[in-house]
This record gives sequence, C-alpha cells and structure tokens, in this order.
Amino acid sequence: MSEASPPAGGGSVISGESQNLYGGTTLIVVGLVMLGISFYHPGLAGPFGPIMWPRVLSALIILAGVAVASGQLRVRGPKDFYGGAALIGLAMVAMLASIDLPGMRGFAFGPGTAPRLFAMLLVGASIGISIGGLLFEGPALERYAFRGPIFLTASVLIFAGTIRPLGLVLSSFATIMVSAMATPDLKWRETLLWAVILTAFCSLLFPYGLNLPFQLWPRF
Amino acid sequence: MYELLANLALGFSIALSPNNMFLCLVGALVGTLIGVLPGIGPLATIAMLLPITFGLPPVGALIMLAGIYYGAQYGGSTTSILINIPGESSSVVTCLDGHQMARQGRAGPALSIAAIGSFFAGCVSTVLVAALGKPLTELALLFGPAEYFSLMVLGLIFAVVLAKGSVLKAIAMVLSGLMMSMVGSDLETGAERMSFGIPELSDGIGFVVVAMGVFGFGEIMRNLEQVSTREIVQAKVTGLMPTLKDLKAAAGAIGRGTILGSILGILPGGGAVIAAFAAYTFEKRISKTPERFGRGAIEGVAAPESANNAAAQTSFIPLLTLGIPPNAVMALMVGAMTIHGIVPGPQVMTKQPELFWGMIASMWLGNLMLVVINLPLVGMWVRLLRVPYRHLFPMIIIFCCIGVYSLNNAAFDASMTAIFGLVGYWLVKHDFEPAPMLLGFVLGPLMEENLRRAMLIARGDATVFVTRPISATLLALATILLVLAVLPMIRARREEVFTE
Amino acid sequence: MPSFKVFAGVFASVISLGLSTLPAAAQADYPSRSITLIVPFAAGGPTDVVSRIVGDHMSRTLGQTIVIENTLGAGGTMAGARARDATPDGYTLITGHMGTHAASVALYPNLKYNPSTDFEPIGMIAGTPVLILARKDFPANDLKEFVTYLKANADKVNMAHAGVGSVSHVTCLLLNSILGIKPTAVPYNGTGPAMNALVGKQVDYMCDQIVNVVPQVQGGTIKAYAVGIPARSPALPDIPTSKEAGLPEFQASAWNAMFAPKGTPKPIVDKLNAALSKALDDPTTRKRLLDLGSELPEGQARSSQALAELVKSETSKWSTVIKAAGATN
Repeated sequence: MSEASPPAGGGSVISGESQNLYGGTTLIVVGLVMLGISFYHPGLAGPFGPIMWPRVLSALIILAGVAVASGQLRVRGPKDFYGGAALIGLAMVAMLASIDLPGMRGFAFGPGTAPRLFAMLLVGASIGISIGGLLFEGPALERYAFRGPIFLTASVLIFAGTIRPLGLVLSSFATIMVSAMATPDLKWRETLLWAVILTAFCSLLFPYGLNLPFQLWPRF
Repeated sequence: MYELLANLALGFSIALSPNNMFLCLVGALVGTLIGVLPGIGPLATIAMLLPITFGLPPVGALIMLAGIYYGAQYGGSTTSILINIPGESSSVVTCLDGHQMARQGRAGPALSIAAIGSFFAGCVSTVLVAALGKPLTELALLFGPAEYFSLMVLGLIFAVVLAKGSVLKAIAMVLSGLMMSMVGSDLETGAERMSFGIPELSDGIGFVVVAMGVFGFGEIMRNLEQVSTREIVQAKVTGLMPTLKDLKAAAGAIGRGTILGSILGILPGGGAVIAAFAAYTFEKRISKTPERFGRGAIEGVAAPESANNAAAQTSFIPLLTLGIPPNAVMALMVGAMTIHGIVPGPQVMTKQPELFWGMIASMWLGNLMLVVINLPLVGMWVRLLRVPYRHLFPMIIIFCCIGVYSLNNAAFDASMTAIFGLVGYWLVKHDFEPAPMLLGFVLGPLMEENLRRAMLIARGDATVFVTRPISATLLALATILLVLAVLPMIRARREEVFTE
Repeated sequence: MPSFKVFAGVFASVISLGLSTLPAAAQADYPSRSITLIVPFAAGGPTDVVSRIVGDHMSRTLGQTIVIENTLGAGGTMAGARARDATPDGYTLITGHMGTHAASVALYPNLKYNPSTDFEPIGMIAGTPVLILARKDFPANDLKEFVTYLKANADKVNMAHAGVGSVSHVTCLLLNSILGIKPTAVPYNGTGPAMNALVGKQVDYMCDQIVNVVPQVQGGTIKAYAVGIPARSPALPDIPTSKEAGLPEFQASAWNAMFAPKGTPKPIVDKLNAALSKALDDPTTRKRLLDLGSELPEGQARSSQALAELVKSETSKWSTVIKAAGATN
C-alpha cells in the first residue's frame, strides 16, 4: 500500500506485508469462530438446511484469509475489502440468530422471513464490496486509536452501571472524569473543577428544571 | 375564503391573549432547551411537564405543549449541526451538511439558515393546515399498507442516492440498518427475533441509541484522534449570518423542502423522516454541483430543515381532524387533551373551534417566536464551539448519557449507545456512511410491517403493489431514482480507476 | 402562571431533597419523600393518563409528589419485573393493568413475576370498557347481523389489533373464540395506527377501549356494535351492552389498578388505599376519569382484597382464551 496517500489526521499506515498477515489472520480467526458457532448452534435444520449458508460463508472467509495471509491475494482497497468482510460476518450473526424463527406460512410472512431475506441481500452486497476491494485500488486502512474509544466507552458503561444504585450526582461525576481521560491533553485540576461544575449543573437541570425522575444520591 | 379568515381571526384572538402568548413563549423556550440537550426529546419532556399543565386552561396547556414540540424541532437541528447528534430521525440529514459546515467554521450560517428555513416552512404549512386540513386528511386515509410499503421502498432509495460514496456500500448500509431494526419482538406473532434472550432487546433497539452512538460518539472518537482539525474549527469561525450568496442558494431549497415536507408530513408514521431525506435527495439531484453535498452545501441544510419543520406542522392534521395521533409525540398530545377533558376526534373542529383555530394561530406565533429566540442564540452556540474540546466532549457525553437513560429509564440503553459508538467509529474508518444505515433502521420496521399487512389483506397476492395506482407510482419513482443513481456511479468508478 | 409553579416546584423539591437524605424513618412518617409510580406503558396512553390523574390527587393527600416513571418494554412486563424487584417500602408502586397483571401469565411463558403472589394489591383505579367496532361501511347494522356475517365470511374478514398481547388483541381473541372463528388478524403498532386503518376502511373490525373510540363513534367515522360491560357506558349511551345485543359472553373491560411490591408493610398499603379512594371521591378527579369513559370502582370493589380476587379471576379467564387461540410469546 505504499502508493496510497496517508489518511487525513496523520494516522500512520501499517506496511503492506504485515497488514496482509494481520488482516488474513483476523479473517481466519473470525471465520473459525463463526464456523464453531454454527456447529454449536442448536439449529433444528439438517446440514443442508438454512444452517448451511453460515457454514459456507465461514469457509469462504477462512479461505480468503489464508489467501490474503499467504500473499496469494493482493488486497488493493483494504478499507473496502475488510469492511465488506466484516459485514458478511454481521449478516452471518443475523442468520444464526434468526435461524429457528418460523418462515413463510402460506401467503403470510413468518417472523423469520424478513431477517433472513435482508441477511442474504447483505451477504450479496458485502461480497460485492469485498471483491471491489480486491479489484480496485483504494485507500489504506487507518490506524485505530485506542485511548479515545476505550475511555469513552468505559465512561458510558460506568454511567449505565452506576446511575440506578448510586444516583445522578456520583454517577455523572464519575462519567465526566473517566470520559475526560479520553484525550491526551488532560489537565487534572481543570478537569476536576469542570467535572464539579458539570455535575452540579446536571443535578439541577434534569431533576428540577426538566422534572425528570432522577434519584440524586445513593439509596441507603 | 371568508370563513377561513373569520376562523383565523378567532384563532388569533385566542392565541394573542397575553396568557396564551406567554405560554407559547414558555413552550418554545423549553422546547429549544430540550431540543438542544441531546437525547432528551420532546416525548420525555412533554410527559414530564404534563402535571404542570394540570392547572392551566386546556387551550393554554395545548399551546404550551405544541410549543415544546416544535421548539424541540428547532433545537434538534442545533445539536445536529454543532455536535453531529441528530435528536430525532428527521434531523439525521441535517447532520450531513450541517456538521460539515460547522467543521469549516460556518456553524453560524448553517444555524441561521436552518432557523430561517424552518420559519418559512412553518408559516406556509400552518396556512396549509388551516385551509386544507380536511381534504388532506382524506389523502392520508388513502394510504393503505401497500402504499406505505412502496413509500418506504422509495425512502430507502433516497438513502442510497444521498450517499456521497459508493452506491454498493450505501446499499449494504441500508441493509445493515434494516437488519438491526428487526431486533425485538415480531409485531404479528410476538416471537422474539435476534434478541439473544436479552429482555431489554425485546422491544428492539431505540433510534436515539443508534443515532447518538453512531453519529455522536463515533464523531467524538474520531475528533479525539485528529487534534489538528479540531483546532481549525475553533480558529476560523467566520460570520454568524448567511451571506447574500448563501441566501440565494438556499431560497429554492427552502421552497421545495417546504412543499415536500408539507405533503409527506400528513402521512402518519415515517412521514417527517422521509420528507427530510426526500428534500435532500431532490436538491442533490437537481443541483449543478451535486459533489458539494455532504461536504458543507448550504442547500443540504436548508432543504431538510424546511421539510422537517413543515412536516412537524402538518403532522398535526390527522390529530386535529381525525383525533388519531400519527406519532408518539402526537399520542402524548392526545393524552394531554384527554387529561384536560378534551377528547380529540373528528368533531374537534366544529365543537371546539376556539381550540382548533387557537392552536393553529399559535403554531404560527410559535414559529415567529422561535426564529426570534433562535437567531440571537446562534452567536452563543457558535461561541460554545470555542470551548476547548477537552471540556466540550465530556459535557456532550454526560448529556447524552442522561438523555438516553431518561428515554426509558433504562441503563441498558446507555450501554448500547456505547457499543454503537464503537460501531460508528469503525464505519468511519472504513468509509461507510452512517446516514443510509440510520434511514434503513428507521424505515425497516414500517416497511416490513406494511409489507406483511398488505400481503395479509390481499391474501398473498403480491400484485397489489403494482395494481394500486399510488403504490405503483411510488415504486416506479423508486426504480427511476435507483437507475439514475447507479449509472453515473459506475461511470465515475471507471474514471477513478483510470486516473489512478 | 406556570413559571411560578415551576419555581415553586423547584423550591419544594429542594426542601424535600433535604428531608429525603435523612435515613428512612418509621412507617408512621410515611411518606417522607417522593413516591415513584411505575407506569408500564408510554406516556399519553390510557394507563398513563389514568395514573397521572389519580396520582395528581393522591400527591395532595399524601403530601408528597408522586413521580410517574414510564418503563416500557415487553408488553409492560419489564415494568412488572422492575416493580417486583423494588424495595418494598411504599416508595415504588406500579400501575398494573389487565395485560401486565393477568393476560401476561399466559402470553409470556418466561414471565419474571407472578401477578398474584409478587405484589401487594393496593386498589382498583378504573376500568375501561371494550367495544366491538367495525368500519363505517361494514354491511352489518347491529351485533346480530355482525355475528352472522362474521360466521359466514370468516375467511374473508380482516380483524385489526394493536399488537400481540394488547387489550385490543386479547379481547378480540375472546370475541373470536365465542364465535368460533379464526379470521385474518392484521397487527398494527398501537391503537392509533389500528384505528387509522379502521377509519380508512382498510380492515373490517376490531375491539378497542372506549377512550379511543368515543370521538370516532360520535363523529360517525366507524360503527360500534356493543360494549362489553354489564351496563351501558354514560360516554356512549346509545351503544347497547353485549348482553342487550345478544352476545352476553362477551365481557371485556381493561382495568388499571395500583400495586406495591410484595412485603410492603400493611399500614402503608392501607394509607395508599385510603388516598386512592379519596382521589376517586374527589369530584374533579371523578369527572376527569368519567369523561374518559372509565368505570370507577365503588364501595367494596375499592378494597385491596377485591383487587387480589380480580387478579386471580382475570388471570384464569384470559389464560383460557389465550391458550385456546394458541397465542403465546
């Protein structure tokens, strides 16, 4: 991927060869996991029933992974190639999750008809995207940041976990503090002050200003 | 005509009473405030403020609640533009160009044009409600399941057309959205679908959860790694008001958006969303420079904002003329009416003209107040962007958490938002556009339900979709649009390949 | 002036905040802080409206605000589960409903609570009669013709309902089982869209609570054949009862009642029952509820024992109907 221009924002690019190795291995692992799930899945259908498709697709993903990792397959547009592959995975999850829902009953749709239909269409579109990633030159993968997503996700999960037991004040203070750690230019004193102000503001605005049913402090 | 004027005069005599004007102002202010707070929608607020209206006269109470509703519509566009969080499904499209404008330092003009467009649309559609309310209701009743299904198909095609990248990727996004919308219990049989045994998923995933996660949190994650862009936004904030050139560019878009919004708003369920997407798609199609869309085109803000505000006004039509609430907020208005002893129904117009016309007049008044409130606020919002980002984003996070929690008082929803934040981050990394996914997500259940209803009623005869004239027209339109979208994309792809 | 009210509310709440942080005092002081009333359905719906109306008056009697918390999900059963898990101190109550506290037992095999044993019944709030309705141009003119028509054309008619397990669905299952027919059931997402389809003549008939029906019947946009309660409803005096119209087996009324989690002390339950009863005697509250077409419980029917019995009898009634129709979740 040396010819591709580096992505905006200065995210560095992984070298082509190691990227193929990593990407291919990821695909193989994902494919194997999916295959495992499809065998573990207590689907009623026989080996050639609806469960066949997730298995065929997992095999396809493993195969593609092997080909990419061994350098047999040159990934020209990795964003599209891996993006498409991930969506195939998503479609397979949907297929497995909706496999034991009843389908058509006479002229009436069953609950499983639409999810399976959309999953199949998504597989089609995603394979198209992946193939496009093999055929056409495209931008390289961007490097993922870890600090931001991890702290942000953690802060929201902390909010979810503490809002009912601890009440609004403690919960929002903790959430603000943890989320503030997501940025490298963190200044402790300033952040602490800001968290106090924000917490006070939220504790007044939501329960009183907007009359929402919030509990402020932990219930003893 | 004379009757209409007399009715409007009656309406204004009620709406202009100091008491009702004050209530309208309070409603508009509260609405703007809650619209600006991400996640807390008009639904939660109206529900919470209901008890406060107990002591008010019915007309005053309704004027205030209606003020909250369209105030929230105005406020919702503010979050879309400033921090890329659509408060409601109908403001998803506003994010596309609105937030791009904000990133280019043009948040002021974007906010102003949204307010101006909304005001214009509000004025026009209010007149429409007053003059044509009754016949338009008949139109809405013509829409059976088959028509709705075809309308939803058309809506999904809009989603594909408005994408700025590859058509195939947009289709994949729409399909992903459709699949996500299937989570939850099946409407017809009650069977649990793809809910993995989690009871919280049995009612499906909420729109705000997805929108806030994918758009809002995803955006923050991306901003945090791009230190440079953030500073640029803060450095080069230019004028607050749109220039004459902007106004000229937006004028046509506002007019067309208003028309589309007024018509589609009458249709219960999904009307306002489709209106916003349709207006955007239409502008992009007729534009001489469609490549500017999605990169900060002012028409891309003006058209959907006018459309969704027009739709917000005309969505009162089924409520006022039939007493049937077309969406959740309107259902709450019915609740408010019944609490005040007014039973909304086909006779409200004749039995309680002061209520009907008073509300219509107050809609216009409310829109005027909103534009007066909002234009000066633009400066304040833009200044908010100058707050250092390291302080701004924890604020967004905590407001979002509280907002999403307060929707159903469910902590689970907040956790889901975090997960969708990661999804949004991943989508951006792979150049997938979230807007088509969100539209698929919103329209998916409506499409499936109506497809199944149509098939049930027609006893499995799939030709209903082409034999019913309205449905056939909509499907034909969808086909044409799709072909028009795919052709240039294929050509462009080839050129791209050759130039590289 | 609302602004004044808001500020007064803020002021009062700030004071009550100070009190609420004190450790829980003896039951005699109950209530010493605001009470949460869980409503299992969306704001603005019949159950929510009824809860808010009585909650408003009860707040005044008890001297503490009753805060409504709408907890949606799984046909109201999420709310039921949450109320069961709440501390039984009288500060968390739930408005139970025909669906959540009776029909749910048969509809949801994995129901996380038992309506009769996991709650302390406080008292009945109001009943909402259910009517049999048809589109405006439906060929039948009265209930007898309707029954005949339905039996003759069972494979052609379309019945609308507001979703699996909703009042309109479950009560129509009762009607269908009385008539011995299984028509095509067209599901809608709530009573609003279902009513819209009936007014738009896209479906043939449905059953619905009187709250949603009165204006449409009065406006002549739909037909009503009978109301499923023993006496005619004052809101629609021209509509015969099911008994008068010749289908006495069709007895259907959606009821809303107040419950506390199991283990809530008896004095608190009694206090709440008295406050509820007082609300039902208040002329303004009464008028508001009656305007909705509700039936209000009187005398003995207001006691907690009466509610406990009602839950038992309704659970077995709807279980039979639902199991016969094979509609489980």
